[in-house]
Amino acid sequence: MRYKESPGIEVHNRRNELRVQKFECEALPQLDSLLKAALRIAPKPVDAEDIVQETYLRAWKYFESFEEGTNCRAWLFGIMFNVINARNGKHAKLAEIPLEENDLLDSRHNNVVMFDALKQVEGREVLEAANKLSEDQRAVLGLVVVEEFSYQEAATILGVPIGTVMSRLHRARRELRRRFMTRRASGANG
Amino acid sequence: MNCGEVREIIQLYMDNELEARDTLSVQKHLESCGGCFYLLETFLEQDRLLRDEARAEQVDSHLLREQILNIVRDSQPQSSVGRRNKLARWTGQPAWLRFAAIVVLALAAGLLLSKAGLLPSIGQNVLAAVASDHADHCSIDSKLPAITDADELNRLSRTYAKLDKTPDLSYFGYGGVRGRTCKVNGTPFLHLVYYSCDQQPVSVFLRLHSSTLPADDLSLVKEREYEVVSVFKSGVDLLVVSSIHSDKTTAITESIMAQL
Repeated sequence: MRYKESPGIEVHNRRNELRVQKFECEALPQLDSLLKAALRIAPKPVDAEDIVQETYLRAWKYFESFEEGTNCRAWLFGIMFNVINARNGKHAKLAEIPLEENDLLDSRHNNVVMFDALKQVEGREVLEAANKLSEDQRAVLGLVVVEEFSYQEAATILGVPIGTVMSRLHRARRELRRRFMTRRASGANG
Repeated sequence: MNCGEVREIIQLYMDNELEARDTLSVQKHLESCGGCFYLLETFLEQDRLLRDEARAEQVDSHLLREQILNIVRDSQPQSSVGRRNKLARWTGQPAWLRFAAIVVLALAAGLLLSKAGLLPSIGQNVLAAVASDHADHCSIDSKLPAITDADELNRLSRTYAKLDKTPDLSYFGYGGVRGRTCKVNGTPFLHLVYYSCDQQPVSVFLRLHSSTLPADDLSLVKEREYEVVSVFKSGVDLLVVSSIHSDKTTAITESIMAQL
């Protein structure tokens, strides 16, 4: 078979070049966002890089199926969380525990005190505290708060019902807030 | 709405996930309830701190980007011809799986061949050796003897690769071919060096097939700073070495394959 003489191969090469260019323009600009998100989830930086590389390899493999004009960023995040779930062996989604109210956290006095306390807090401290939340909570907090995906988009990305996104997010924010209140209380006592 | 009802949906409110009617109800409640107002402010401030800090974080993705681009550029789409499909499927596998497969195959092949006394005369060592040879002899100012006579080069091409004449790379802007015969890891090759108008060299190594490698599928590896493409086609072992882009090196190899 003579490749060079086959017009089919020439067309194929041109198509492939265009495909690479499109991938570079649409998918690769999201690399930093994906890597940061993976670093918030993965235990080690090298794991995060592996996750992101695998995400991009899968994205490249199925790039033909990506619909132009749709949200490439959400598509890539969806692939990445599939990779993460596959690595974690999450085949079944656990039912969410019903939300619990905490009267202490909801008193007016505490809300005012907490808001004032947050004014003294560095962003770095909030991020570090967020990184200590459970993996599920970190994931949803990252998607909705940092990446500003809608609940529906976050649900699609994580492959969970929208109600699960709501409850995880609700818990994550409250847990974060609780940690700052606890720390503030211990600081005041100490 | 009372405080309990508002606090249940206050996060939906701050994330703009509420319907218009509920949004208005929450707003109305917040105007008259300091506790809920401060709860909302607390969550908003907490989110803002987290978002700003997370977004300001710097990550070094340069190397990762290069790795991804190299794999993407070297692989081919799924809807392609057979050999390209194999490569795309291969690159689509997880890195650890590919690495494990290579190790297992290499160990198995090495064991079998060594037992049979058929150690391959071309392999990683040869790929490294041709890369070294390219580095040593590709300079246009090289003092080493080189054959430039077209008839003699054509004759050598017939002997080493059953070609009527030296491969033509003018389509890629390469000419000024010089040649030499050499031994790479003890095996004789015809080494042709082509130059582009800006003196970028491309080495082409040819010999009649005499080992179990290279395979009849294109193989691309990086040796030192050079791209080395190897393939076996029509009874000829062909290796192309260059420092130009892997896509172009592969295209040059395919062009020579078409001339075999």
